[in-house]
Amino acid sequence: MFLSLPLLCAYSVFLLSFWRARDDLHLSLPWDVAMIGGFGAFFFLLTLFTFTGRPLPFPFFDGKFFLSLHRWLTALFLGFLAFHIGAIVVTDPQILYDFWPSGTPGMQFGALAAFLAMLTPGLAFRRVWRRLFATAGIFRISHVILASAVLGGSVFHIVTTRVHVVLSWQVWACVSVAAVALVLPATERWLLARVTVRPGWKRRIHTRHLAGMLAGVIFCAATIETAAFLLWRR
Amino acid sequence: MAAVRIRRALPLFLTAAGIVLLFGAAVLGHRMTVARGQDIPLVFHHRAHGGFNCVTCHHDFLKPVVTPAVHRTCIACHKATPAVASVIHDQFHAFCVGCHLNQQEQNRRAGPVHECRACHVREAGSPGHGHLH
Repeated sequence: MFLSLPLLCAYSVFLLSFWRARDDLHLSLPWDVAMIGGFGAFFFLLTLFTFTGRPLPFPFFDGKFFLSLHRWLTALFLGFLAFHIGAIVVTDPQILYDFWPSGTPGMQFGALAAFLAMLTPGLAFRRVWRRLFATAGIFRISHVILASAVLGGSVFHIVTTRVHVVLSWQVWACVSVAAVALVLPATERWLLARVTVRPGWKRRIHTRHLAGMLAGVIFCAATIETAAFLLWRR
Repeated sequence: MAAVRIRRALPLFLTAAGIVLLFGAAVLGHRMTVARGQDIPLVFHHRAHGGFNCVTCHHDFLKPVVTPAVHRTCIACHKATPAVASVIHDQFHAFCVGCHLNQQEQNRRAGPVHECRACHVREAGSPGHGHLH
């Protein structure tokens, strides 16, 4: 549970940074709710680049915990993404015009990123990737390429639609956060190769259920915090 | 040995190529169709904008033209001009939104900024539900 606190702190900073300006937009409540759903999806996408499924030195749990946490965070990401798309389409069905070829590139890249976001976990099922990829290493590289495309498409969508992320520092912060997320898995591996483990210490086993609990706590707390934040900003 | 290497590299190549093709097709499709794609039905409250100088929007107001004004629309002319056809969406949205934001910053009543249905209607001919804030 000690991981939930830094994650929620990061979420708070994330919301405050990207939702700070332009509260004079006079957007209706359904629009704001849909937009904040998209912000939540982007946050959980970033956490997927932090918890990649590889064991980290902290917490000193077994690999199943990290793999399970990655899956739970994927579920949260897809849930928020589905909410974002569903809410905005129900609120403003005219937005579907943007998915035609003549629509705006920002919306089309967002739609493609959403499509890839659904495809990527689909290909990550053990039965599927074992049929398609010769080795686990090749699957991982392919997974990274797809995830990077999802992140790139999402950032382009956020920056070019210019709803809340409009100021130049916000745009640069958004791009920088995404760039850091892209190199984070490789950095984690580099650090892991050099981290010294105290002799005699063993990773705690049977911790898979803790990942589900952690995801549940984060989901509940993030939802409550989002609702409170939205009421405060409006 | 070579066959094994190809078998291993093929999924990676297909993944990368698929992504490039997907995003490339979106960009290419947009460029090819933006000038003749279907417009989203739009309601413009001309009367609500009566307080502004005509040339604020009609930049060619003072230019002599042969075609009667009733047969000319902003969108049609911009689509027919290759230099601006590719940026038609961004240009029109930026023009309307920019002006509305300026009004809001001056604490004046302003039109919608982001909500689609405040300007665009579901079907051509149906009444718009545009509103002023």
